[in-house]
Amino acid sequence: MGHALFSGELITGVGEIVYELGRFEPGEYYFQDDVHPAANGVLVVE
Amino acid sequence: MRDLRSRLERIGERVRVAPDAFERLERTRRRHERNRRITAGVVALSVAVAGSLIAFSAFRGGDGVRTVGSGGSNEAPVDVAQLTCDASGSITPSNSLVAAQPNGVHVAISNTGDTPVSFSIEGLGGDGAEPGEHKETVWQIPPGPATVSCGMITDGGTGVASSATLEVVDPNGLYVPADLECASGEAYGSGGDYADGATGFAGDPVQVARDHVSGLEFDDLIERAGYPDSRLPVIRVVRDGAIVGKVTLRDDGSGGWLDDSVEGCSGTRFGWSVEPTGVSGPMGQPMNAWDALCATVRAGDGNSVHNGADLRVDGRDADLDTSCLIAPAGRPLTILFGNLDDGVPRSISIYR
Repeated sequence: MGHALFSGELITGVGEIVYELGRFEPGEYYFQDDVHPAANGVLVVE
Repeated sequence: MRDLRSRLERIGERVRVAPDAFERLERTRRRHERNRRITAGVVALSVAVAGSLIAFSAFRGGDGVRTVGSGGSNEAPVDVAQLTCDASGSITPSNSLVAAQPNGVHVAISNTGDTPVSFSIEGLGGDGAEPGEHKETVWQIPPGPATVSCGMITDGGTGVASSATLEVVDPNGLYVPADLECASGEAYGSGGDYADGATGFAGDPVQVARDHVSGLEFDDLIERAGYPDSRLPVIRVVRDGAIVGKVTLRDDGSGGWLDDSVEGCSGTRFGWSVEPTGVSGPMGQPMNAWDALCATVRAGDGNSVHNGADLRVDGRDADLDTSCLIAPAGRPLTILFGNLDDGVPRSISIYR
């Protein structure tokens, strides 16, 4: 998987949280819900 | 002249032999001899112990061929350790070496007394035996020394207890370590709590763990640990060469597996998920396979929830509402992450 560039704070229960990721270089990144890793996808920065 | 006489008298006092001088000399000689023998005995004992340790180390670290050095024992390991708890509360092993079996270490306990006894293995738990009872049980004792204890059960509790040491040997290399190797030294754990009749997931225990343990990364090594045929299968998670997770499964009685416990090093987020989680990551599919996932997102403009500098992702059940996010380079990015499930933890991380 490589290394984590950003690890979001855990949120438990109904609610919202704003993750501030910072700036990314162009490329393809991988994101996932760490608690449910099957919930994942690609972040394309271009 | 008087001074000379005094000096001669003092010299005479010094050289005069006391009546008990010989006895004192003999006592001193005997004391020295006894001390010499004690010292020699201690040295001999130390050499013997060191020799045994070296022989034992060679045995454990070798290919299972037991090396017995001078002063060592020729005792062969037995397949079943026989322990006797007697009426006095003493425990007596018939053999100090027991060989591990594919499903664990077999221990037979005999209660020859007239009161019930409790029997325990340090760190693993215990059992009981009624007067006259002989029972054989299987324990997941790792290779090495194990302390076994026996105590009489009385109305006032457990009475006199005694202990003995069993040495578990693993000549066939059956045991695979599963103890966590946490860099931080800190770990967490949870146990499955199911009502009677709960059904688990059928299949190979390792695959069940791979499918239902959350928090796995796709380059984690997930493999069977402990003893290969243990009644409660143990699966370990090895990440970057260290054991960071341990899952123990139990049979639901109808061929399925339920989680008995899930343990992990701090910093990991292992848990048990009823929904299949799979192992995260592309699992062999090339990265550009995700291009197709992004077709719809790409069709939107740069201000949609999944396309832009300020993104939004919602999580429900074991899913997110998108598998693709598109964002501009060089701009500060944010994700507004919504959790739509009450009581469910979730988070988003980004990897490269």
